[in-house]
Amino acid sequence: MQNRPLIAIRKVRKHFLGKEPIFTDINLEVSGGEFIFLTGVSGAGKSTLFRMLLGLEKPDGGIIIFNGSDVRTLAGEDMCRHRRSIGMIYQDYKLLQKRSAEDNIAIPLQINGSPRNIRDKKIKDITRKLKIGKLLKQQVQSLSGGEQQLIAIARAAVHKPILILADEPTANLDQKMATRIFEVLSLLNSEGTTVIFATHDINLLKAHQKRILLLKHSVLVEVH
Amino acid sequence: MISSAFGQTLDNLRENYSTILSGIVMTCFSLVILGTFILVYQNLIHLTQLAFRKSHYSLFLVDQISSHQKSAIAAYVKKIPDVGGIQEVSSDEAKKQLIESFVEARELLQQLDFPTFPNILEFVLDRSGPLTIEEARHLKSLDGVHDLITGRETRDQINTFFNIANFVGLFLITLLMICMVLIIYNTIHIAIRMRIKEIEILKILGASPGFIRLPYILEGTLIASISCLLSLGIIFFLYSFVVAGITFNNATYPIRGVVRFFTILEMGTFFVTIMLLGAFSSYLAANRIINNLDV
Repeated sequence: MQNRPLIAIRKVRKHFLGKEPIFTDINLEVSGGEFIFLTGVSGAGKSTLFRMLLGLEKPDGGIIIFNGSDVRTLAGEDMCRHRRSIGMIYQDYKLLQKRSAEDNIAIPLQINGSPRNIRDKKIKDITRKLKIGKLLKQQVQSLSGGEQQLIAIARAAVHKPILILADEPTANLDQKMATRIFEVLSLLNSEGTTVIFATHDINLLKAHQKRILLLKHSVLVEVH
Repeated sequence: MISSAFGQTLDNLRENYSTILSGIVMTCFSLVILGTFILVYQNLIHLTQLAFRKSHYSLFLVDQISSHQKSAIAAYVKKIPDVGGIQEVSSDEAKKQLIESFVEARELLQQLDFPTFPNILEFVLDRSGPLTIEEARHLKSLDGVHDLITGRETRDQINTFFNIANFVGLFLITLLMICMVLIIYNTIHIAIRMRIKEIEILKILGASPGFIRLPYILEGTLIASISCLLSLGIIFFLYSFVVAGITFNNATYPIRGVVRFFTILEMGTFFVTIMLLGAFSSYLAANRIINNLDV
């Protein structure tokens, strides 16, 4: 039971109508607490894989097990609970632009129904950890791209999810900020959160000795 | 969850005040039309009922009726609820009235030899319905009574008219209510469509449909409530303005005593109905968008 993988993907196929098959037969096992880089060219299927893990996309075949549950069969409240156990970070941040950074970070806690005092404490903890305290009261649209990504990471991590999926979080950022984003995610990983970091930044991949998965020609291969 | 939804509703209102404002204006406008129609309809029905409320009855008595019998019949008629204006018309008076009612042919009529006119006991019934069948039957069976002219046909026609008017009125009110729901529905639908990205984000973060829907339902209820209060104010202003305009002289002044605005109970019912319609239509609009989302 202890060795049960957090994620088990077996024989997953996916084909969008009128396009080349995106996955022909992919298999993957991820243990809890791992930090994985997922790489591949644009359109290779990194985002689709994340969408499948989140239950936003259904595979044409195969199974996706996350934390003991078959994601394909989840529905209703179970699907909501499943999504709440994953922190998602996007390249375009997906923040509520007219709200303050604090409001954005609070959303997962509100969804979980956390009381106000717990919510405040958790926001305080994550902002201290990510060193973004001075950004809290600012409106998101007034922040730089890097700052917005830090807020997005704080939002993804504030409720302590089991898994963080980062879909090219450094794509629009300069090297300095990209390094900071990586460090922040590494910090969260060191505290036990499993992180899958999608990127095609070769420098980042070379600089860090992590497990690397490559999506190429519709299959997933382990390169490191 | 409720307090968080309230907070989110307030944020929505702050961020999208122009959409909300136009929604309130649109809803308020349609409510003014609906409310004015209901008020005019209600007053017209009330006025018509007042006008046709009194009906006249004639009790034809036998020729050789004693004064004792007459008194007994009159006493019985007096006891019938809502009866007034009891008046006895003798056969001579009846002939005189007939001749006087035909001014041009008066001389000719005086020369004619009429058969004997009956003695009549006239009375006025002041109630929304005619004499009951039981009352009429009993009157006819009284000693000394020959016949009762009830005017029932006219009353039946008036009742039929009211029934049709009620049906048409309720049909139009229902139609306007449906229009109202569609207007609120579309307003909320537009407001939600503008924030579809937010809903997508909330869904990705694991929010349940109920969590996403609640702020929009509160928003729809708020739009409907504010619009309802505003429209009631506008209708009251229009009502006062029209009544003041009509009743400026002594001849029309009594109308003030007859026409009326909505009672507190009616306004409360109107408010609660509109509030519920607002909640219902925003529920439908939010549901439609949430269910059609790609995520």
